[in-house]
Amino acid sequence: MLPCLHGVAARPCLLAFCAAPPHFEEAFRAELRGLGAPLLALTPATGTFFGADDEPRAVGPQPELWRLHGAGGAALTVVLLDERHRVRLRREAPEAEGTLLAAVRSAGRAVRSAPRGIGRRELLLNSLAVALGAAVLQACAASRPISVQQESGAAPGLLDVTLVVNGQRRALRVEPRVVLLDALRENLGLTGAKKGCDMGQCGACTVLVDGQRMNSCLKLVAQLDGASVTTIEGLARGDELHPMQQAFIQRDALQCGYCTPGQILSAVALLREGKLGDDDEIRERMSGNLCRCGAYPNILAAIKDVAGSV
Amino acid sequence: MRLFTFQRAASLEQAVSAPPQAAFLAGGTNLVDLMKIEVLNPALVVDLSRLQLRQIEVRDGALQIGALASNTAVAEHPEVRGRAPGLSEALLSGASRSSATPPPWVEISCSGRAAPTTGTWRPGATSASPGPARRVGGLDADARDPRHQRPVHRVHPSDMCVALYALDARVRVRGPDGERELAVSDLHLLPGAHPEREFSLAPGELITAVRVPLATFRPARAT
Repeated sequence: MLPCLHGVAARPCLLAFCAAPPHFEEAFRAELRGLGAPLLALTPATGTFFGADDEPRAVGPQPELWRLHGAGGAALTVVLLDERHRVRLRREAPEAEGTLLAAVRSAGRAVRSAPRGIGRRELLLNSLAVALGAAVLQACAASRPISVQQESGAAPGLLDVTLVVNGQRRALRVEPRVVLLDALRENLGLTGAKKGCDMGQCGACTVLVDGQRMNSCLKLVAQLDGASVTTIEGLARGDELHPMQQAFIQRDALQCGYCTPGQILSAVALLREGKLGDDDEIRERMSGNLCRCGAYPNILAAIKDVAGSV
Repeated sequence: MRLFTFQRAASLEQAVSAPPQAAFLAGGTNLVDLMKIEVLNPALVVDLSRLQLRQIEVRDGALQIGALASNTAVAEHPEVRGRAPGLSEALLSGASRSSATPPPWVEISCSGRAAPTTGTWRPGATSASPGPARRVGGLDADARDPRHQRPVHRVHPSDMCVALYALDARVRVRGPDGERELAVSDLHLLPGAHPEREFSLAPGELITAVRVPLATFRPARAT
């Protein structure tokens, strides 16, 4: 047991090694308290312990911990320790506060919504591990495109493309052969659009481009400079789901869920196109989105629910 | 997909003056798919999607459909629905009936549809009566049913093309040497000595519009 962690014996704990001193707002600390796992935030010169209920406490620099966990160059190295302070997860991320906040928030949500009676400690650890992994991935992906200002002149063969993705301007520097689906998933970290057949037949990759549904696996991102793209991540307003997302849940319009983002975007576009007609026409107009689980009757019901309520 | 150089054509003139080995990219449904599996490996891809070729209008006695008009736009256009309903129906039914063709309301350009490179000609019904081979939706000169030695009809895999054949549609083509027009039936080549060549277009030639002549017949009047 490390001396500085005496106070957190027999409890899971988060270590955050930050290159620059982080600024954790009160909102973040509230999330952390609700979660029930303390955080030790370390910079090379300082150490701050965020406990469960008290004010942050200065614990001094911890060179031994830095050495032990091999933290160094990254803006953030985050380490998740279990109740016996064994390393459960270690990840590096290019950005500190946002990554940790996103992880703690989504882990807190998972812990709060879990049914009573299952092992809370194991649940907390698993939720934190999953949420940290996802948040770090997101942060890494978001920072991957080289910022346009950093280099003068485009690198040979690379293209600068600007997209408005879910309302946000995103600058990309990509090879001309990159398709929209890969740019969304790999460069922008938006993994909602799914890669199914990768040849324009299954519709799992459907996104809206300037309001029109499109198979993003067959569209070169180089062609789309200035276009506006909506993915499944852009449908909800905060915590409020889009009516079509809600209807898919209520009608149980999915089984494995892999085709669902494409189905929902296609259905949203279908309603906007205003060509609903009878059941057969809806089926025909949704026929570009395959569902191998066979949830079609429920997908149809969900679309009709939303159409009827508009 | 192999690496290539990407150029955006600012004008039709610029597009057709591209070097002959360039590949024209409109919607991408055919070309990108074939590039992904490395059937086509162009060193230069010329993007046409910003050209002003989306117009659908009645002009000079024909329904003229710009080559970049999306299939959705064509199928839903009032002039198309009114004057060539068969074309609209073919596009709308293309989605679920044929696995080779993506749904029409996913954006695909009209030229891509008129000249698909992915489909294979599928044998249709054999002709009931012997006689000269007939083209149905762009067909067959010499093929014969091997068992019965009768001419075989083959149907173009694109529903849209079948409708265009039936409507005697023509395509307007722009090349480095100017403009020409040809019948859709002269656009497609039957698989012969060069099955990889599917169109009678010369290198650098580009379809700019599809023209569907307005119907010349009138409903039969009772006498």
